[in-house]
Amino acid sequence: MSVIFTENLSRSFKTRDYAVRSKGLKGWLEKPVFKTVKAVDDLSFSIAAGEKVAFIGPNGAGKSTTLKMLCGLLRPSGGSAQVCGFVPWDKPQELSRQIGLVFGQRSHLWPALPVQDSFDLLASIYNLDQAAYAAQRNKLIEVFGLQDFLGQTARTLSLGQRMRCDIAAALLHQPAILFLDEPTIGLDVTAKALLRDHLNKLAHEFETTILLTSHDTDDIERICGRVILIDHGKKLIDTDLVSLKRDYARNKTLRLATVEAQPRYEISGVKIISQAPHQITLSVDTNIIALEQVVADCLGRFKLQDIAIEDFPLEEVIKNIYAGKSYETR
Amino acid sequence: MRAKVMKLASETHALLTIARFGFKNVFSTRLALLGQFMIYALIVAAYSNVFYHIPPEQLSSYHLTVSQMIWYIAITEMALFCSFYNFLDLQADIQSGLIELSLLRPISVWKLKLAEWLGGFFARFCVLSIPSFIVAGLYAGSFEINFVSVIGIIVSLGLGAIIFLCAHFMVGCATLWLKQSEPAYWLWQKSMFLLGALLWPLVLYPVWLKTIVWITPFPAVLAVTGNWVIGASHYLLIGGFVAQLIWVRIFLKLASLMNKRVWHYWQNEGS
Repeated sequence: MSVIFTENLSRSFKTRDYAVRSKGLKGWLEKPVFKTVKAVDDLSFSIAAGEKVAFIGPNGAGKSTTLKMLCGLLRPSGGSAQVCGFVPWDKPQELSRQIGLVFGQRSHLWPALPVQDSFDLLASIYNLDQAAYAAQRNKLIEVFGLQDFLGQTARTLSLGQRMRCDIAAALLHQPAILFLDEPTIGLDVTAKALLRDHLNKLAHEFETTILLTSHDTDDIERICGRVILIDHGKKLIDTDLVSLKRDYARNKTLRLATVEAQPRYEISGVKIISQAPHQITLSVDTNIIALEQVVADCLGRFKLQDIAIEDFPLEEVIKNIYAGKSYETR
Repeated sequence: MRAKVMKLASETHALLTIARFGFKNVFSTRLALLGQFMIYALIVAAYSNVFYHIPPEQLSSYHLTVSQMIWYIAITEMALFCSFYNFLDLQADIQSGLIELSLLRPISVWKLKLAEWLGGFFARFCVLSIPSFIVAGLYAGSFEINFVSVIGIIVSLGLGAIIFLCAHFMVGCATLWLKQSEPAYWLWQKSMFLLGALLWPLVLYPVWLKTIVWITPFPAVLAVTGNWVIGASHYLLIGGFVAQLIWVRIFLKLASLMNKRVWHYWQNEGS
């Protein structure tokens, strides 16, 4: 059953075009010229209950605009959508009980209040049953490891801690859908890894449908099973993560540790990525040559101490898609 | 009907919780409270000195005494000091986009903000009222209040606060159109000082101006509260109370309409 459904969803913005303005006083007196920018263009997709979907694209692709339309914060210029049975922009406050929102740079927490008090306040606003609230809060405290800073005011938390609290706050009312907009933005490597662990746990322990937008492919790989790729407001790809990698990651990385001091390898379809004494790393274009053939060849050519085959990083896959190397609209 | 009552009860409970938070939040800025009180005491001292230079016979032609004048400014300034620059809070929310999270909550932003700000107003009143009464008493040399007038001041102050805070909500929302809400606040503040009769009672205003002033909401914010310490007639006190009730109703409606406009703007224009 679909909890999110969109059909030909579009959204345009009118923005002032300063490029056509004359210089000096004349510019101030001129009638302003506006141009229309299409942020989302004919977007159609549906998401079933419990699915964890990554919504990815470069800056300005229309990810956040789509998310805001699905929350009811923006009215589309065209098309239709339903979220949990509601037309979001017609009934945003009714919908708010069904959805949880996490915007990377904005917080649900009251800065001057201890986290625990912010949670209690949200429980009052959502009119939650005390027993259900306590059970959900305790579970979230455990999943996100919040015990140590529940008594701290939000303004004293680190960005990583605050983000974990924010995600927990968004889930207190047990929403059917969680919208995560850039949850790891601005976090350092350690905080990112920790948050990803918590989100991974969340994805497995809660039935909540997740729609995640992120620039960070690691977020996506850890949390989501399906990827919707958009650019210039249009959907490029809508597929599961495994298929995306299989269909678009035509390159595999082969790491070899050899007895030979200076291993050399030259064959069509294989590129040397790095070379060191007793080591060589190859990139195999599987469209030109089968990986099995290269492995067999290497086994015949070198005395191998170790061999490792790695997938092409998702980030590279996406980069290639945007660069048009494997471009295909599905 | 039952569902409506249940909804109202749960919303009231939530708003009271928010008001309690607003109340508590004020005490996290104790130094600011102390600073506010010191400025308050300075203003009352300065104006007391001015009022003592007015010949008493001139004041008596308006049925006023210097003591009443000092108590008047002490009360109106207290009403002002119990309020705060709440519109800045909303302006920051709009400018940072944080308002999006508030908009997407089951209770409307205007109700949540009003409850939080009223909690803060009440907290400041609890802290400032008794020292303010003492300061006024010391400068005036007498106490122009009794049990009935204290009750009257508290009720008037509460109703005035609702009008004042609804206005702050609307001024804060003006950020959407003006980018900065300070110009709108400046207009509101100056009108309130002049037409709300902050510094001296309306009875001292020219007749034509008095007539104009009474058709605006400003006296309902300050002058009506101050009337309790200048020996105003029962007719004026009851009239002022009725005016406050009418303006409270109007301002609550305006705040709710402004909330709708904010939604409309946000949905159509984006942040």
